[in-house]
Amino acid sequence: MFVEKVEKMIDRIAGHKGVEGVIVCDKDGAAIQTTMDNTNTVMYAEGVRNMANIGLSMIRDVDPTNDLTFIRIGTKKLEMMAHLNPEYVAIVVQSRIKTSKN
Amino acid sequence: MSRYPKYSESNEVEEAIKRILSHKGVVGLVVINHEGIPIKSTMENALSVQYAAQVTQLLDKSRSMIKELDSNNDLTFIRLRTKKHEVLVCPEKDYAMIVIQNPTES
Repeated sequence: MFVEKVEKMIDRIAGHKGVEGVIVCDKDGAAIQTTMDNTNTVMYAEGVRNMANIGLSMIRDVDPTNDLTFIRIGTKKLEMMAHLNPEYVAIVVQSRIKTSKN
Repeated sequence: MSRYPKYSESNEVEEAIKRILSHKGVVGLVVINHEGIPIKSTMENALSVQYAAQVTQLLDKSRSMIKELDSNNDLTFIRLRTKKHEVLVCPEKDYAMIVIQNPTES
């Protein structure tokens, strides 16, 4: 079933070293699936969605035909990634792993 | 009045910018100061100013959001992937660098 596939995928991502949590929310921001506790889920879902919305308006202001598909926010301690879709937002929060320079 | 960097410093900056621009897919680069004014750009003025203004807003709001989540944390970079290209933003204390690139398809 589709739901099983999604859950397997979430478990796979959440099982990666350093991943603190995976959240899937609908377009209104309500969490559908999460591997974090309620407080953190709400906190990260709201925070990342807000930043994604600001990023989206930034992209649209420069080019109204463009659209934001993915946002990655790095901080000293964590990295938050969100894949944006008209129907849902998939958010992954992971702790910073040292990577080589881009 | 702006302080002119020493010749060796500005040379390093130019080298770094050249190196970034030589990457495959890089469309443009804008360096902005803490006021959001582009001080260095490889794109036309109107577009640079537009990106500068938007990114400054994005940085301000992202920073306050991150501090809200954890007051000991701070923003280090933002990467926005769009249908057409990718915008990379690297904020520092007094400046921010914005790079626009076409990501290579894997």
